[in-house]
Amino acid sequence: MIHIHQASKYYNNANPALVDVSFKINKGDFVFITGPSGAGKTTLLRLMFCAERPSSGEIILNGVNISRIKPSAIPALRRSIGVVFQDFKLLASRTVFENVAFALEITGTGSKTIKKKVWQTLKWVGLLQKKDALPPCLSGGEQQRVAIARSIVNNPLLLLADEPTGNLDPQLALDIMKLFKAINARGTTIVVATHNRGMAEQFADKIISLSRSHSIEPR
Amino acid sequence: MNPASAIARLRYCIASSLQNLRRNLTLSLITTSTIAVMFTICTSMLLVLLNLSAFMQTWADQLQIIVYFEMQASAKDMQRFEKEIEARPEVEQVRHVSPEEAMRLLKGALEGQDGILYGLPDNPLPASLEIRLHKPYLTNDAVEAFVAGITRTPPVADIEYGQRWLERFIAFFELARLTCLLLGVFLIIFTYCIIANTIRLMVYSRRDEIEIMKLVGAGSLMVKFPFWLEGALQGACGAALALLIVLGVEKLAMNNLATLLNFYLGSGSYVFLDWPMAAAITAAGALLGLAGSFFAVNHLDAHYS
Repeated sequence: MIHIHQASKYYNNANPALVDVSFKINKGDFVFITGPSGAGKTTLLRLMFCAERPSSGEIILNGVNISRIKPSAIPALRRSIGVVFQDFKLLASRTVFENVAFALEITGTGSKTIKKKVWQTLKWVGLLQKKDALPPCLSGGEQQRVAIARSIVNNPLLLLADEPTGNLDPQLALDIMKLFKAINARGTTIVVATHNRGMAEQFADKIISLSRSHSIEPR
Repeated sequence: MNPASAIARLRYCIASSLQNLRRNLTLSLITTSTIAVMFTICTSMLLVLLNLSAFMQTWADQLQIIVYFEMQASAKDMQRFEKEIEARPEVEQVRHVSPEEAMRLLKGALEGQDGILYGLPDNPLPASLEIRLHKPYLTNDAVEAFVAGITRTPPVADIEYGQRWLERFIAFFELARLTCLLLGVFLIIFTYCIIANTIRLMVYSRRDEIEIMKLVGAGSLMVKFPFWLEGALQGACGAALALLIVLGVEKLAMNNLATLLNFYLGSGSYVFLDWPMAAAITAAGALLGLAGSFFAVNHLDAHYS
């Protein structure tokens, strides 16, 4: 599914964010990338959804070398990847339903299909009764569920999550991880970046540890 | 991309544009009003130029050369001269005006004030010849060439064709055109900047949405198109509003000015915007708005990864 080969990322040609990182992730894996703050976890995820390009090395996603992908091909690639962030990145002025529908609207999906898919997804993440609420009226855990619903409504092959439980209390964090596990059980490959090693050991099929941008220790 | 998907995306872009204009209603109204003011000035200048040009054309069409004969010129000499003039290819029509007819015309022109002529012992007006040229020769150069071909020897006393007046008017028209052109260019640049800055503000107010759009796989066109549409809509609405303002002012003013304009410009020579011209002005507004927004969002790909 994903093959990262000697990927490095330097900012301003000096500060290394990642150095010679290599690993493989198979289809259907539930993988955790762990490491302290500044280890390069976020950078690694950003390379995986083409928000940035590696300074050197290669990233192969489903047989496509995305480190050399044309800018015009990035949107299509991103439609097959779901991304979840610590700060949720929801539109405060839109309802829960509209936030989730947003991911389908921009792909040109018909309104009937949007309604059906969003309905199903919200039901699946347990937020159907809150579909008309605005994000600021929801708890942190609920907001993260909306963000997760938005990221999976397109049925992506890969779901990337950057510190998805960083703003949540342990119980809510556990609920979110259980939700990820359920998504993974449906066949979606999941990569979660977190500094919480304990949580990684509880849920992961595979753990990739980053330290000072360098070392990789697949479990 | 299948047609249904393309239509769904277009519908989304239109809805997104309208929604954004509604959300930033005050800013949108200020921008549209500013564009309307700019286009009102531009359209008014265009109207002035069109009417000056129409007036010049009307005047040129009615241009005639008047040859005044000497008081003591014999009828035989005048007839000979008239035949020479009639034989020239530029001439469309020649009319002999006797001193008696000239006096009658003068009295008619001085209607109510013709008492000032009573003290005259004799008719002091000379006989004259009114010469009208064919249309292709109604240019300043052609008229001058024609007049140069008339020898100012007896029985001819003087030739009048309003040359100085025509030259002054052409110079004034050229100056007016240049002034309007410079002012027009300035106003277009100003309007362009207003639109571009408004769209930049709208981009800024929607930066979170743009970031998420990019994140969930929206293409460059999908992100930019709603902004292009907003610019074009604001430009078109501003231009259309300007047309309504000009039309309203014209309706109000023409009630009082119609007689005056017809007197000075000649009946029927007053020109107002026709439908194709109004459509062209609205389209120009839309294009200007499109250009402003196009360059305002050009940087989006670089800023939002």
